Amino acid sequence: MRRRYHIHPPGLLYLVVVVLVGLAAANRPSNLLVWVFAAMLSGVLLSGVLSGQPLMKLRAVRTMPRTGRVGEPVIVRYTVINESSLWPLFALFVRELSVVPGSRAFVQHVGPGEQVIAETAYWPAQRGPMRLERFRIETVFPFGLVMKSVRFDDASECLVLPRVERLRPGVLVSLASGTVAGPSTSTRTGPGSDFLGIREYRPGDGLRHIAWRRSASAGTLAVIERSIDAPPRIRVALDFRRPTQALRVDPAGRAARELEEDAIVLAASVLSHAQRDGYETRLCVLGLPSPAMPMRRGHWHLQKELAVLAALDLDAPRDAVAMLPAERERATTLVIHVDRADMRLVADGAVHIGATQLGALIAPVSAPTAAAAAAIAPISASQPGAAS
Amino acid sequence: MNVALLFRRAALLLVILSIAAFAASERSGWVLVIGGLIAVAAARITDGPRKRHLPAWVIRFGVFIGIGWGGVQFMARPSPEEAPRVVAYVVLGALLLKLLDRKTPSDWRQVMALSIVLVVSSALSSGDFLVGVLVIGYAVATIVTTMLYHLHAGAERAADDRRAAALRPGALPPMEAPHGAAPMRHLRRLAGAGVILGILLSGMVFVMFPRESVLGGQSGTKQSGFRPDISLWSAGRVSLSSRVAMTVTLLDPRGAAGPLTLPLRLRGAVLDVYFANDGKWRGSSIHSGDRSYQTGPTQGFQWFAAEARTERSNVWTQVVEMRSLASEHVFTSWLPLAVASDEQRSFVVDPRTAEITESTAGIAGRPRTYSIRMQGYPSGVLAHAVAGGSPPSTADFPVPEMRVIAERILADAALVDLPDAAAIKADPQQKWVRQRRIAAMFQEYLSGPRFAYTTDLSAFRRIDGKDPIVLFLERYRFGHCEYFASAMVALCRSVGIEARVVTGYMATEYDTVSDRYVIRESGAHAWAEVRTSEWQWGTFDPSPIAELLAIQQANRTWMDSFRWVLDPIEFAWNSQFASFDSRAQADLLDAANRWFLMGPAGALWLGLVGIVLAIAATAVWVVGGRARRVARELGARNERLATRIALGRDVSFYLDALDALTRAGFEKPRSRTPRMHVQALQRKNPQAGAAFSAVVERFYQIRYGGLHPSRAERVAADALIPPLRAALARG
Repeated sequence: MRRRYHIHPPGLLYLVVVVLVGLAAANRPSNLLVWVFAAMLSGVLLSGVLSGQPLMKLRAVRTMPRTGRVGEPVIVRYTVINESSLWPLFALFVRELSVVPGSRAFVQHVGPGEQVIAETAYWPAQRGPMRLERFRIETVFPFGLVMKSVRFDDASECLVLPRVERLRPGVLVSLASGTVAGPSTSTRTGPGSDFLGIREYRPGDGLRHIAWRRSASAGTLAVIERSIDAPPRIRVALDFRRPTQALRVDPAGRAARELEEDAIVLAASVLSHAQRDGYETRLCVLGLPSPAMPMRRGHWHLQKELAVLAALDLDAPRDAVAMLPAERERATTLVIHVDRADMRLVADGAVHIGATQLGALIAPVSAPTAAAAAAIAPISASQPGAAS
Repeated sequence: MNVALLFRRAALLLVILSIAAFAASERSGWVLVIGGLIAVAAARITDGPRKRHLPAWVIRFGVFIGIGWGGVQFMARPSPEEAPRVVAYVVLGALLLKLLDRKTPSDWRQVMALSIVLVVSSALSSGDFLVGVLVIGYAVATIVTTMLYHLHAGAERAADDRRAAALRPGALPPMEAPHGAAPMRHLRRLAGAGVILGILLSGMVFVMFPRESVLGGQSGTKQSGFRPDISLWSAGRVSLSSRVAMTVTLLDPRGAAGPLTLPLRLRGAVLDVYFANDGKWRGSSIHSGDRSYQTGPTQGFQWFAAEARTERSNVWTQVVEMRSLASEHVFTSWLPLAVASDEQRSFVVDPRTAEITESTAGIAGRPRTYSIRMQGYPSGVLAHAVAGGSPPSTADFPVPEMRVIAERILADAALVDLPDAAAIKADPQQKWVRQRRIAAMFQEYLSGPRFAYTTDLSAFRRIDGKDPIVLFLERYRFGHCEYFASAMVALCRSVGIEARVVTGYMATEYDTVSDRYVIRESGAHAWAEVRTSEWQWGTFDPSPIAELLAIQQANRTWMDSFRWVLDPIEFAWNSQFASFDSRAQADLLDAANRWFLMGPAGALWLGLVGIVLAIAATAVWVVGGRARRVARELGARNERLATRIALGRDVSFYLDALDALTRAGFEKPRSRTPRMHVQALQRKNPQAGAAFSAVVERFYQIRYGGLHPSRAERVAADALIPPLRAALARG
C-alpha cells in the first residue's frame, strides 16, 4: 500500500490564483482581500487534511471472476473498507494500473467502519490469462485541488476464454451429416430402450426388468439389461503443427497469427454450439502441448475445453509430426486448419475446414435467420472408403 | 441521496451570493435584482423538465462581446482601481450566460470559477461590512458546494462510463453509485468540520499576513467616507453612502445640549503636503512636537495646555459616539483644548495642526466614544499655548503653473485697498488682513458659477504632464469638495498665503429628539484652512454648499431610517477587522509574548490550564470513543449522541464482557447475535458460557427491555464480569 499526493492541473491553477490574490492583498490595503487570500490558502490545507487523513485507514480488496470471454465484460468488484472510526470517505475512484480497457469504479461514500462494494467492467481484447496487478484508489475530494491516491498491490488473474461466435443455423448439422456422428446405441448400460443383454438378478433390480420367460426356463431370476441412448459426438481437431512463420497466407488477407486466432475462435464456437445442441465433444490440439480431453457433454466439460483453447500458447514450439489418433467411438471428426488442409492427418473420414471460413460460418448480426448450410463449403469432406 | 439536486441548489445559492457581493460592492440594488432574477430563471429553465439551454455559439458570442466591451471600457479609463470593476462586470455577464448553458460537471465547474472571480473582484473593489459578510458567507457556501460538486461530478462520470459501456457487447445495466449508510449525515459533519477548520486556518493566516501600512478602516475609492489623504487622480463615480458614521452631541458651557450651527464642520485630518507627481495630499510626516495624553474612565479631561484648564469663556464640550466609522482620527469642530474617554486610551496631539489621533487601537480596536473640550474663537495666547512653538510655513506650492493662474485671478478680481508689501512692512498685522481678503476672493471665485459640483468624475481624464488641480481650474471645471479645497489651497499657496487642506465631516442633520448631530458617510467633506493670524487658522470652504446639500438630500431613502440596526455591527467590523493593521498585529504579538513571559507563576498557571485542557480533551476522547463504540457494537448509529452516551454508561458491563471475550480468543463476530454467541461459547467453555449468558440477559433487559438501571443496578451488573473472566481464565 502506497499513499501519494499528485500534482493536479486544477490545483495548480488554483495555486496561481491564490498567489495572484496574495499579491493583490499585499499591494492593496484591504483586509477583506487579505481574508479572501487567507481563506483560499486555508482551502489548500483543508483539502489535504479532510481527504488525506481518512485515506490513511483505507483498505480495499479486489474480487474478479475466474473466467471471462473476449469481447464480453469481465465484472470486477472492489470491496472498499474504511477502517477509520471517525472520518468518512467520499468520491473515490478505483482505477486499475494495468493497461486494461475499461471504466473506473466509483464509490460515493464509505462511512467510518463501513465497507462498500463497487464494480466496474473490463473488456479483454485477447484470450489467455488476464492478470491485474495493482490498483489505485484516488480522490480529489473535497475541493479538487490535490489528488490523493492509495495504491494496492493485489495480484489476481482471470482466464479469458476465446470469443464464441454465433454460427449460422444448421451449420453443425451440415458439418456432421453424412458422417457417423448421429445418435447411436451405446455399449454402456443405462436407462435406454435398446436391448443389451440378460444377466442374473441382483438385489435392487426392478420387477419390470425381469425376463420372466428366461427366468422360468432357467429356474433362476434373470433381468434384461438395456443400453443408454448415446448422443451424437463430434471431435474437433485444431491443426497447429505448422509454426506461424511457416504458414502460407494471402499477403493481402489476414496475418498468420490472426488466422491462428480465428481457428481457435472457430473451434470454440463449434464446441459451444455442439454442446448446446446436445453433442458430446472432444477437443484435440495438434502440434501444441495440451491436455488430452475425453468425449463428454456438459457445461463444465465445455468450460474445460474453452480453458484449453484459452491457454494455448502459440509461441510454443510446434510438433510437426503429430497425428490425430483414431477415434474409438463413433464420432464426426472436424479438423480446423489454419492455412491449407492436410488430408493425411486423419485415417478415416473427417470434415476439413479452414480458419479463413470463419466469416462465412458466422451468422450475420443483421440477418440472423439467413440460410447457412448453402454457404458452407468445406475444403473437403472425406468419407470412409472415399478417395482422399 | 439525491446529490445532484442538492448540488444544483447549493450552486445556485453560490451564484446568487456572488452576485449579491458584487451588487453590495457596487451599491446597486438593480445588479442584485436583475442578476438574481436571471440566475433563478436560468436555473429553472436549464434544470427544468425540458432542460432547455442556449446554443453554445450564442454563449461564446456573448462572452466575446462582453470581453470586447470590457477591453473598451478599460482602455477608455485605464486605472488600476477601475480594472477589477470592469472585470467583474464582464465576469457577471459571462456567469449569467453560462447559467443558460448545458449543465455538465465541467460547465458547473466553470460557473463556480466565474463566481469566485466575481467575489474576488468585489473584495478588490470594496471592503464594506455588507460585502465582507457576503464574501464570508460565500466562502462557507463554497466549502459545502465544492464537496457536493465532487460527489455529483464523480457520480456523473461513473454514469457516463456505464452509458458508454452499454453500447458495447454484453451491455451493463445502469447502476447507482454505491454508498454507505447515512452519507448526508457524514457530509454535513465533514462540511461543518471543514468550515470550523477553515475559519481557524484563515484566521491564523489573516492575523499573520504581513502588513506595512496603517489601514484607514475603509478600502475602495469609489464610496463616500472619511479618508486621511486625498488622491485627485482617483476618477470615477463616487457613490454616496447614507450610513451613519457617528453622532455628535454639543454641550454649551452650562452643560446644555443643543445645536450650534448647521452645517457643522468636524476636522479630522490636516493635509499640508502636496505630491505633484501623483496628485495626492498627505499629512506631514514630521511629528517632532507631538504630545501624548492618556485617558481613562477615572482620569477626566486631559488638558493640552495649562492655560486651557483655566479658560472659562465659550468652552464647549463635544461628545462623539462612533456608529459605523472606526478611525484613528479624532473629529473636532473647534480648537481642541482637552480630551477624555471612558476607556483606557492614548491620544496624540500634533500642535502644528491641532490634529488629534488615537494611538492605542491595536487589538483594542478604535475608540467608540470620546469627549473633547473646545473653544470656538480662542485668543492668540490660548492658541499659542495649545500649538506651542512657531508653526511651520506652508506657503509654497510645487506646481509653477499655478502661480500664473492665481495671479491672473487676482488681477481679474482687482481687489481694492489690498495691503501691499509697504503696508505690511509698516504694520505686520496687515499681512493677515491681506491673506484673509485674498482667501475670501479665491473662495468666492471657486464657489461661483464658473465651477460645477459633481460626484461623477468619469469624464475627469488624466492628461500626462498636467496637474489635476490645474486641469480642474483650467479645463474641466467640475469636481467634488476635494478638488475645490485643493484648488483653494493651491491658489493661496501660489501667492504666498499659508493654507492647508482639511478632511473631515460636515454635519447637516440635527436630531432634535436626541439632541445630537447625525453624521453620515455622505457628509465626508474637505475644505481649506488659511492662516489668518500668528496662531489662528480660518476655515474657508470653496465648495458650493447648496449644490452639495442638494446631492446629499437626493441620496436619502426610507431605508436610511433602519440603518441604526446595522451600525454597531458595522462599527465592530470596521474597528476590529477592516482596520486590523500592522500596529494591531504588533499588539497581538505582544499579547502573545506576554503569555510566554509571565515568569514562574505564569508558567504554573499556564501548566494548570494545560493540564485541565488535557484532562478535558481526554474525557471528550474517552466519552466520544465509548459513544462511537456503542454506535458500532450495538447498532445505535442513528441514535442521538446523548442517547449513545447514556447507553454506553448503562451497558458498559456488556462492552467489558466483550473485551474480556476478545482477549480470551472468543471474539464475537458482528454478524452473530449475543445469544448465538452465548450458545457458541457454551459449546467450548460451558462455565464461561453460563457467565456470559447472565451478562447477555441483563444486556437485553437494558438495551431492548427499556430498563434504565440505577447506580446500584449498574454496580450489580458490573459484578457479573469477574466470574466471566475467571471462567475464561480457567479455560
